Amino acid sequence: MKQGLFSLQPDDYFMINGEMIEGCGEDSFYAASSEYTSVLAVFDGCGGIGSRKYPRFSGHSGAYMSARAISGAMHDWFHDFDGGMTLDSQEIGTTMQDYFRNAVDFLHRIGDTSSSRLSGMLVREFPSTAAVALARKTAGSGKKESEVLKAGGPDSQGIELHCLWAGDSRIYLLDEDGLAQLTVDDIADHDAMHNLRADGALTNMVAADGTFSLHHRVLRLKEPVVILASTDGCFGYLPTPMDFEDLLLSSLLQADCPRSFEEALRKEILEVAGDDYTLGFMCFGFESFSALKNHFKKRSAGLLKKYIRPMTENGSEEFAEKLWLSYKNDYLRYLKR
Amino acid sequence: MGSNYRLTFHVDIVFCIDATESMDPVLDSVKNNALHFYQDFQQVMEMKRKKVDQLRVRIVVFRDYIADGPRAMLVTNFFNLPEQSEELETSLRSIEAMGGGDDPEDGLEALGYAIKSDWNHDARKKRHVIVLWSDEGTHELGYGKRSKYYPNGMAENFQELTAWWGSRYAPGEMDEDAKRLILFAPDKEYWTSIVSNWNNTIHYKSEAGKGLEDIDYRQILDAISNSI
Repeated sequence: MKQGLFSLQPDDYFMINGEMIEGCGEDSFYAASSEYTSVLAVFDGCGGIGSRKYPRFSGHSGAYMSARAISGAMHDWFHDFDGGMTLDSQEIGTTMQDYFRNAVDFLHRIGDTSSSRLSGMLVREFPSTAAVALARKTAGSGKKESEVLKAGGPDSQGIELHCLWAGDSRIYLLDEDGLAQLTVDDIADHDAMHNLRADGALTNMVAADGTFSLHHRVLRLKEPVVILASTDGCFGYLPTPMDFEDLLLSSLLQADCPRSFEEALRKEILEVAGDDYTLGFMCFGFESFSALKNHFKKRSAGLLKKYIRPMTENGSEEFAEKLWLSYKNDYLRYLKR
Repeated sequence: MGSNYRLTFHVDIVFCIDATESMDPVLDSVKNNALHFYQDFQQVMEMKRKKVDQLRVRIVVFRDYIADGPRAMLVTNFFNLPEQSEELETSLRSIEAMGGGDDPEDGLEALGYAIKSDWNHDARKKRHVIVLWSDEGTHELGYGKRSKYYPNGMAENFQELTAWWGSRYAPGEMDEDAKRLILFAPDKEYWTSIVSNWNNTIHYKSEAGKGLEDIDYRQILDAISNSI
């Protein structure tokens, strides 16, 4: 599982994806790895505002079509720019946004919108979230310090992670300090706990009508580290953000090989998902699956003791809120920088 | 695995029904649509594994204050469903088409009543949905003020009613994340102004109760059951 000196092959990566109603799933994804670059990308067609059905697309919704078209655009982008290796940091964001824009514009041009008599602010054309985690080797990258938000100090070497997103699909990091959200949801209220209950409306997403922003952050990370990309079907139906970390770690620790971890995770997510779900996982810097498990044993025990077991004994909302206030300091550690 | 803290889903729906004379040919269809709507909505929610823990429905019947006096605005409290489903159906079936006077109706006052409903504000996942059927445009707010039955405390004008509805930047009387407004109404004022200016709205340009394609109906159900 150990990577080569200058290449960037993840030690393991997989994508879990499922749909609530067979054949109508509005999530899509893309995952690829070249010698120097790895990408996990998840897309969640917005079924509320993108529920218009298009006869020209076999009656599929705008949300369904959008997520798939953007996923295709992601594939094209990855191959056209050698996984981003031919681009500087800023160009990664601008070119990817152009590819996504062109994908939904194409749908808009060929989709016949005249058949619907519906209008209003709850009706958008081909809306989808996007969350892209693009990992590149940092050695010799020559980046200016101002371009990169450093997580490991000025001399650290490791991974340059580009997080690009629109909407409420997320990129996470998981290390010995626990789960950390790396992206900021495009929802008026940014509190992750509050949004589990409030179901807040998106303020930005990829769409064919109107403008959208593809946010872009760059972090320099030390190995070993786990990177996740997720649509809200995985985390949005759990009672607290702490439960999502517990779901990840307990699935990992009960598994005896990478594939059984993947299956355990799929089973746990399916148990709680209230929507289509997609989760991408990649990890760097672990010698073996045992090393991956061992790395998180202490953290899992601490999470259970401090948060999960107390919430099992006291199921009140007030108590969960109190524990969230304690948890979120670490959970938001990369968003405060 | 996991904690014992669980999320619940509460749904409140207010049906605003134009019951003036011109609605007579379609009123039975509107009543059936209303009865089916909450059932279909609940079914769609459950298909998406969103278990509705509490469902309540309220009715606002509107006509024209000047022409119809005491029968211009009839309201119920929320019915808890399924426990009070028979009472809801009895109330809906009792609505008769009558009166109305001139073409426009007092639909904005009906929305005022609906917006000021006693919504469930528990800190849980929730939807607060207003569904309105009409075959005409609306009067200006306050048009019926000379009627002694016109309510005190109603929004003074469309701007104030818009403030009651609220926006992301200036929340009004309703929960910004939970609220949805579905209009089955013609492309006439003030419905068109509402669709242009109010967030979280869907407008089906129609004669109420007529011609709703299944594909559009399913889109409406998806729009209010899914996150936005």
